[in-house]
Amino acid sequence: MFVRVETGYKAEFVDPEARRIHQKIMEIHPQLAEKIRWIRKLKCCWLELDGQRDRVIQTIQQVFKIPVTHWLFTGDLLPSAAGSSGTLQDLMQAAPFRPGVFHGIEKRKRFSYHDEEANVIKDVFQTVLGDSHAVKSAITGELLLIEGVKLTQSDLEWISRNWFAGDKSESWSLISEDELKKNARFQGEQVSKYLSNTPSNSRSRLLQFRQMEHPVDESMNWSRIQELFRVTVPVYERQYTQIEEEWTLRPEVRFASDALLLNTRMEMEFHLALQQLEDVAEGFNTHLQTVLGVLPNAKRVWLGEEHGNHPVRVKDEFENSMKDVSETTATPIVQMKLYEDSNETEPSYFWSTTLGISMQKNPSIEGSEKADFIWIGDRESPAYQDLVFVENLKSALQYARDAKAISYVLPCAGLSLLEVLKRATPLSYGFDLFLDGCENWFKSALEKPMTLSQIWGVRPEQKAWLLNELSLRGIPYFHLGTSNLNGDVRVIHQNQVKLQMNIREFFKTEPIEPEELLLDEPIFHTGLKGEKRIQPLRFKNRYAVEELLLKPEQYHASIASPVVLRPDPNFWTGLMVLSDLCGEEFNTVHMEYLLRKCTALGGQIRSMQASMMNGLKPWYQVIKNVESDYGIQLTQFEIVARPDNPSHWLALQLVARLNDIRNIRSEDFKQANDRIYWLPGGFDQPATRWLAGLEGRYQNSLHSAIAIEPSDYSTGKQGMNGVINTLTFALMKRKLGAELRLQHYFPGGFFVSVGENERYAVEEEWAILGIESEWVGKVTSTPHLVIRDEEDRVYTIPIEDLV
Amino acid sequence: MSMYRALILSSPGSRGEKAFAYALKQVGFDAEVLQIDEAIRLRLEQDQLSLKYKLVILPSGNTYSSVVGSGRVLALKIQHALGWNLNRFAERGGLVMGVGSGFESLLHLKVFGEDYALRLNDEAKSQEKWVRVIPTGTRCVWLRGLGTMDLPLNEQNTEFVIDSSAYVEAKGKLDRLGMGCLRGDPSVEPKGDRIWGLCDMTGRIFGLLPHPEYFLSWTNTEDWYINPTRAAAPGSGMAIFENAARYADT
Repeated sequence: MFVRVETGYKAEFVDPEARRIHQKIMEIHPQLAEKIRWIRKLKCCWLELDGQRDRVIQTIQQVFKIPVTHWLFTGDLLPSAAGSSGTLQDLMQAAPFRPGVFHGIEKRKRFSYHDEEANVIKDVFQTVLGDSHAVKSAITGELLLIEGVKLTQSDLEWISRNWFAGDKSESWSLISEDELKKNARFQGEQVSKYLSNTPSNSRSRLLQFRQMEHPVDESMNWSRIQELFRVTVPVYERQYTQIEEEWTLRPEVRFASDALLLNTRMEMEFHLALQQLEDVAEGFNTHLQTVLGVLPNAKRVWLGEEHGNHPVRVKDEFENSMKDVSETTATPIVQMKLYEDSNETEPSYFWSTTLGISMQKNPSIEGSEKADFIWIGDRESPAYQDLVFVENLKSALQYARDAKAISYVLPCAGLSLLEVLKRATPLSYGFDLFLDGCENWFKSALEKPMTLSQIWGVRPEQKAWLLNELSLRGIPYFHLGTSNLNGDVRVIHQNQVKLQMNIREFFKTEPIEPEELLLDEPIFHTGLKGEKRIQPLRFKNRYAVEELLLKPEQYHASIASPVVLRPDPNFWTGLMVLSDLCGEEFNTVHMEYLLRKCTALGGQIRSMQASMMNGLKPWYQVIKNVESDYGIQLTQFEIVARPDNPSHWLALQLVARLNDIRNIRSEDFKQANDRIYWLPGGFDQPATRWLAGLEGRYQNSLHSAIAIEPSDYSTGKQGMNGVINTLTFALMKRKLGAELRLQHYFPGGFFVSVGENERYAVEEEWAILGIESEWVGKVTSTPHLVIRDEEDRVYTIPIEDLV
Repeated sequence: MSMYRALILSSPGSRGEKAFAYALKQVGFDAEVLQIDEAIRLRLEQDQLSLKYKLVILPSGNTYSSVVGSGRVLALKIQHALGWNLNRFAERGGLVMGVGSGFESLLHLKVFGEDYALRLNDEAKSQEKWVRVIPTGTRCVWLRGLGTMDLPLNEQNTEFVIDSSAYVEAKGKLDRLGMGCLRGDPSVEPKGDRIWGLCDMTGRIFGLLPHPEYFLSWTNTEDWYINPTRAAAPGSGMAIFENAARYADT
């Protein structure tokens, strides 16, 4: 039987605990405390008892009844246990203002939380009744009874949030005066509601999610499901070739938040990086190759969360934490300063790791043994946009992996359940799906793409522990099925096998051509009329790659996105370019610019990896022709189509070779009196080969090399402005100026700077190698740009005005 | 000197067992601390209790997190799982002391009658202070020959209440039979001669709110260093345990 028990001090006694709550409110919010004219606190207990009614009543009396000081309210179970009527009205009579306006706030321990009081009560009932199974379940809580005419609902919510209920471990609800006076809350159905696994009226994400499970809809269309299960799912095969047996580099650039500076000390993110590496190379041996730190200039460090800290201290802390990671793992470290952008308002601390994968395959792939798999995530889009939730999920995943509680993870975001299952290699020996309790979710998720969620293969012996961890973190989950080795796919509902088929039939796929996933024109132009425009990422933290990947519908990077150097001890260097081209064209000109940008840094580009979401056909053409046009091999190519997501992004990673990582050049002019030259930038030009270090020996004499942006060499006045922009940004980093002779437009290429002493050797080498060059001007110490045009007119512009 | 055995019945959340054990050892008892669940496992029932032990202590503390009332779960376990009747134990010459929530357990076990209880006073603040108490009457064997003494109060500020529905009768019983054996000093306490301790009809079961086990020597007081020559002297609490040893010998 279901019983609710309330105990509280008799009306004649002052309730000291309630009084303390009132005093606390008085200290913090005196206006609200004045509205409370009378307050009482009762202890509540919800019980599911097994046994004869008389015996149960007797036991409740023995356990809960303190006749001298307390009243006991049990609805109609013990009508004479309190005052004259046995209801809360007896207690309300003690209020100084009658009839008064009464409110109730009820709190109870969340089902998944440890409830010590309930455990003690269970123990006591077992002692008194002499039956170890006397109490099936119990939850404890409290009821705050408040009288006040002026109290509003928001006041009561404030009280319960701040002084009464602990939000994480307890759920609370408001009770009206009518409900308080009636005994309906003592009825079995009401009590059983709280004692079941799915408590309602809760604000936690977990419980909100569970609340969404409506009563079971019996109309499950099994024939339709069977038909879907038999459908051959088109699967786009990722293009993947390996040019170097011992080396590959993955486009994994993460950890872009400013909080990362502190996190590096805890090494949490670092472990995550290692784990991601294992994710990418499932089944292969992995190892860490380098740690890379990029720290922006001191001026930027000064901003953001670290505001108030001295930039030097911030820088030192960053460097020390990087060294810690490096020393702990015996991994080489490279630290660089690369970017300075006055448009950005957030600091851009950034560190990353270069992750290497050796191609020796592990002897066995985990996941084939029998294991429960559990769906984890959230089906509603707010979670998708909630980075806190994402962080929670990430830390839970890390925690589970540290404890070796999970054997595989299947990412579900953007895919339908059918697609996830049909691509799931850990399930390829057979599995059972259990639909009890998730029928509605299953019906919707089977064909429609899911939002941020994952399926975890959980080891049975650690399942209980893991589920408890998930509950504590408020992450929704449910048990979806079990993998097995019997070679069948079975769908089980209400203990009946509704569907069964052979695993070979289920995992049948057909390849899809990449062109089928490409779009003719950007979604930006076809849809989204009148809707909020997507914000370009350039005005945000430009390293926020993770944010971009999580929230592609909100941000996109620009063509001026970063080039990040990722060196390796074996003189191999990965150059990563991330670019999003939403609403912008991406053509050969842009491609050349990106390649040039890498060359300017000093790398010999050997291969390229690319991935695109909602890619356009012109992009595909450019990337596909990289091999034939520039002799660069495309080692990995991935296309993702997400029609529901109105954005496009393209990520490119160039793998390049560098003879000596100390010779990396940066895009800024270094010192006054350096001579500035222009070099042509075509990939058939000897200048490019020279800059990349393939020919010649005096490249080290260059102080800097800067790739000219694609807009610069367009015809007309705009082109001139573009050249000036490139030079301005290169000069402003060190607050230098320049005297320039710009007498014609430059068709792409590079600006390089050479010291006065080294220029003779460099110019001689250029002449020997047949490298065309043109002297443009020289760097000056005053921050002014002095330009002499083709008609010998002189313009003097302060750099600050240009910025 | 007696070598009777004394049982200190501890429970989850109880405290002061070591202080009790020390005090009882000093006065000649062979004290044993036993956890309630261990006692249940050993099936230490009423007959064995009377045979093995001369004295039972129910220590204070937040036993069982004061779920369903302070000391109540311990009382229910004593009553239902161990099946003890402490009144019968006392009738056979046994001594019982309950301090703080142990006193509440005795009240829940109704060894003094049904009309008495403890409740939090209006402040409900946990506080540590000393109270001046006066033993009254001659019934309580624990307090024989003792005069006014100061004892520490080391828990939530609880007070003794009598059921309002039978107040006159219950209060008269306490006065008439000398059961209200430990009272406050009216010259010090604003609330007059409030009751700080009760004994049963035999005088052998003694429940009290102050803690005699925390005043075993003068170094337990706050100002002992003012008069260091008294430091080695025993405290008033020790006198109560000495009374118990003396009674056991007789």
